Amino acid sequence: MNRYELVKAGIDIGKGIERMGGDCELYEHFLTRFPSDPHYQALLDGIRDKDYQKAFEAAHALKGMTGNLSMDELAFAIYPLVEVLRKGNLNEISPYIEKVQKEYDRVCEAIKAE
Amino acid sequence: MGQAKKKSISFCLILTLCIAQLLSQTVRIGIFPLGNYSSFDSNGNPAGYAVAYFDHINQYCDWSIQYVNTGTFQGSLDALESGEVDIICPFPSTKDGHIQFLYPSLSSGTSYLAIYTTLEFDQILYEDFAAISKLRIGLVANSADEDAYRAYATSHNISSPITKYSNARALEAALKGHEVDAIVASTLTSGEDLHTLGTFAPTPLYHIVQAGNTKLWQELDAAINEATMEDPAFSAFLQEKFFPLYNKSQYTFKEKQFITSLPVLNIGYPTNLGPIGYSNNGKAEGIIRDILDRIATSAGFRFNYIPLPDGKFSEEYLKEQKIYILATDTCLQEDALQDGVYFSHFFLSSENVFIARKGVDYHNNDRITLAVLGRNGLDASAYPTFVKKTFATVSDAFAALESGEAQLLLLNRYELDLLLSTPLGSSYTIIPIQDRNGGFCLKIMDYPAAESTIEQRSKSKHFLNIINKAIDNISKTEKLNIILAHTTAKQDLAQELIQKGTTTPPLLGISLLTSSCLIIYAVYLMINNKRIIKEKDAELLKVSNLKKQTKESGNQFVSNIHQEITPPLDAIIELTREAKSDTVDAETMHKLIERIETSATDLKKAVDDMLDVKASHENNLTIKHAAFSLGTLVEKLRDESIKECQEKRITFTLNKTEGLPEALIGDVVRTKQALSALLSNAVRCTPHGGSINFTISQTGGNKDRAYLRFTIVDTICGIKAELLSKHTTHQRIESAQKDKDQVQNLSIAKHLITLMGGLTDEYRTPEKGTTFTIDLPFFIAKETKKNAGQTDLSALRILIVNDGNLKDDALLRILAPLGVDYTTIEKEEDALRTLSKADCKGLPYQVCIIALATEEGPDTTFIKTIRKMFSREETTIIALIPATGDAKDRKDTTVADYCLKEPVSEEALLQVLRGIKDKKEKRKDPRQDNRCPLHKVLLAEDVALNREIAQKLLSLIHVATDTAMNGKEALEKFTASPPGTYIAIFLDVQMPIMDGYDTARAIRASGHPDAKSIGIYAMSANSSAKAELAALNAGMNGHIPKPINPAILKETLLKEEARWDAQNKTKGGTI
Repeated sequence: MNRYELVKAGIDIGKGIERMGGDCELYEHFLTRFPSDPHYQALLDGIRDKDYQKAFEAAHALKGMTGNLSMDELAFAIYPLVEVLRKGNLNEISPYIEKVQKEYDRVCEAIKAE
Repeated sequence: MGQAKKKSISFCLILTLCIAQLLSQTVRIGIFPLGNYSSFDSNGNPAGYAVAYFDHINQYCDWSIQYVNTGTFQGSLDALESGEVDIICPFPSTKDGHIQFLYPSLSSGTSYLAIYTTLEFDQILYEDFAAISKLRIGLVANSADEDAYRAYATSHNISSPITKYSNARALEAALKGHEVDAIVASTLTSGEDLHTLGTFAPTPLYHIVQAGNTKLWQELDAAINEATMEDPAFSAFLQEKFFPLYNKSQYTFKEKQFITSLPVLNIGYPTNLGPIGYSNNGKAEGIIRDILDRIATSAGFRFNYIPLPDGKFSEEYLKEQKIYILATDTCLQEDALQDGVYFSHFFLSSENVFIARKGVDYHNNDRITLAVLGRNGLDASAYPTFVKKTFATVSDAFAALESGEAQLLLLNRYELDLLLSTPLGSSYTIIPIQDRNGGFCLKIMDYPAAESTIEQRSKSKHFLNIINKAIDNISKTEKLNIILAHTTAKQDLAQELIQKGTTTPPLLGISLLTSSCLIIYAVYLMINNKRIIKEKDAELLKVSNLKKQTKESGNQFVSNIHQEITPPLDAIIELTREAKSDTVDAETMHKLIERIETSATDLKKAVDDMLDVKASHENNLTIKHAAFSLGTLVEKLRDESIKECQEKRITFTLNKTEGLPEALIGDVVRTKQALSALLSNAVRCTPHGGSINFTISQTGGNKDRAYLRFTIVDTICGIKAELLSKHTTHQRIESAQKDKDQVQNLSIAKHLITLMGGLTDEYRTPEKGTTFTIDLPFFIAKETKKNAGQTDLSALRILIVNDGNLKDDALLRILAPLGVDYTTIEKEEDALRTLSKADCKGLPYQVCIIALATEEGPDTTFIKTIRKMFSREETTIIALIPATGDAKDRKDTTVADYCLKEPVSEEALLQVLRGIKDKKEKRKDPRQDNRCPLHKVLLAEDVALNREIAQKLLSLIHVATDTAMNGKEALEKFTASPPGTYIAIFLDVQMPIMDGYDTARAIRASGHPDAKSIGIYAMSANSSAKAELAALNAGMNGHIPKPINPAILKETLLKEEARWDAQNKTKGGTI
């Protein structure tokens, strides 16, 4: 894993590893699996199909995951999105989802980086 | 529309504050020297209101803040425009400003113009305009100030002659030189030795951001909003601290006259409120009494307190006793509407909380019984869903909680603090109530209300205004000190509570031991309790954190005192055991008892020592115990003294007796501070050409302790012994400022020495001079110098980041002979890539030494990036800083793991490296620890990744997991499991099919043998206070915030384990 790229993508690896009791391999294992987790796709599908309950649940799940993995900037983008979905305040959703998409792509690219 | 959008964004930002803490961005704030508002010391460190204000705000945004000295107001503007700084302050609200800059919605303080005189005019009352008219007034010829003053003068008929000066300094000089009697100046820049006669022209001040920097502006706005919502008074509190003359409600001439005309006022005093208000032999005492006394002194009232017998609050009774003012926390709506009844501002908030026993079942909201106390005050009517039961005393109410007669108890937290620190306390959970309406105030009554005349009413209202002013004048700190004095300082009370909660062992021989333990415990509690109160003030809502921290602080304290207490305690236990054996004859018994007595005396001494520690806490002076080198300390002192001596050609001699221990444990900073002060005094008092002799010797000790004696002998005069005692101090202070500093430093030095358990002694002969003797106890550091060969450092891989400005020769000369694998890199960016690459190759660097020669020392952003890339256990960061800086005050010390001064001493560096190496060897790979799981938990979580992480974290603490994808599955697994299978159940709150709360209710109602007793915990990313309550309402035992903190998880399981053990013991069998 290229840790420098990961940090630049807004991931606090140091904190993440400390959360895993200092087990860096375990942390990297979870990090590698993150791009294939289905919740991000579910979030996009939910918003596309206007199934906001589905979108909310997926966003909420992502919020927990990104917190667990210390993906600070992605978490920071998801948090307001969860609140907007919770309140059903759907007219203003696009800037939030765009921000999440941007951060998500950065994170996934960094995870795959050599 | 735009406004609405902004609002919704800032609202979301408030919600994201906890996430914001995860991020840290550097924000540069431009300030310039402006009195107490902002200033820079000689080292360039910023201070003042602006810094304190932003430190507070930054709790809500967690930026890494840099203060930039822009020199002047214009400099600040230029720096903001050029992008050198991100935020500038103070800035008034102007029309142009709103076009060019972004303003937060709330101001960060207010400045006023004020009329000041020197203290010789302090007999003139505030706003005594007739008297002001007779004064000669000076002001700075600046149109804004002048216009504002003229408007003020016109509206109040002030006809003083005005003299104009070109700048503030000239104005100040004119006041001092009696050219004018009073000046018009801003509250921001005015010092303390002035008397205020009037304030006007309030100007709100803002922190502003360059237009276009919307993100920062939104964050700043949200942080200020949040900080103000949490504590609306914080900026007023800071203003009071930094601007003593500022904003304080002053009594006007008329008000003062009114106060003096008042008779002694009878105040009905409640006596059934525990530490808040009680009667001691017919005398009113307690927190309320002390606060009211402060109010009376500050305003000039005379109060006579009449203790009211329990429950006698009726109108008839009060009338009969001629009580027209009542101190109370009952401010009922209907009362407030009544004619002739007035309530003052609150002088003490009531801070009610719910208390619940941990591990109690809650099946149904309707059945929750709330215990309330029968006395007046706590308004239980606000909780209509609970069944209320009234109890006469606090202990009755607690008994009801214990027996299950009631599930919740409504209580004032001041009464609770003491209790919660006892062993009993650990079995309760506090649930804060967001009830900000309650508090103690004065109820002022005009009897008979119906017949009260208009004059009487207006008099009462006038009185009310003045008393409100007086209440507002009492600072938070003053109140806090009063509260602390009544809760933590009550040793006997704490002891009583402990004795109630502890069963005395039956053996008489151990009673001595028991009582000693109780004393120790009482001391421990007092200190611990003080912490709790302090923290609770800030963090009442963060209950779960609080519990954890309290525990940690206890552990730390225990480990500190361990060394002192354990040896004599062990001796007592051992000797008592011997004395109990049958074979002991009378003579041996006598000897044994003598030895027990000696050990007990030692123990008492240790306890006394701890009381000193407590005293030091109260004075905010903490004595830290850490290893240090005696040689280095003495060298520093010598160098300082020689420098000072040179100026006066004083001969300085240092004698160090042989065989002194080199590595000591003690507070080196405080020791140095005290000795420096005494040495400086010696230098000051010795005439030109005299001599000073500084001797260090050892007066006693053993393998653990060393008692060192520092002797300072100066030739002639020396400070007079009386100077150290208070009485003559006052006279001296009047005579000379020099003496004042001297006496202050000396008394601080003496205080410090006492705090460290030392003694000072002074012997003076007029002919020969003064001899100061300081005796200080130290521990001897166990690990004295290790040989270089003992720890092999050759396997360490070190990356040195050095931009070439610093000479790294010294560093390499130390590292090269060790066979350490090191690489030197110049650029920060390259360093980050190298670190990353090395890690990919499986050869990570364990140490990163950063030597970047900037004025401010190493770049914190750079260090923080490394810290984000590697955990503390993987890579240790050592920052090298220029010798000129003071390592203690530097920000980077908190970011780097170690800070070493340039040029690096071999000893210091090796010590650090060995420490790293030893730690790495000791640390086991967390996955290689293959102990069998001891317990099993049931974990329901729908998100696969989160489920696995939780499972992994549990396995790290040897707990096996059965998992469920949703609540329904969890319920099925639980009901199908044999009794005793799980020690706890963790439920994600939000799950498909059946959510966490419903699952918990269903489990409780399932009829499984463990259904009622098993610990069930909610897991969610929601804010903890609300989530905790929601979890309790669903019958769960608590709430674990996500992302999961392993420490909280562990603590929870330990608790459940204890419960599980106890339960299986009582059942008389194991599973």
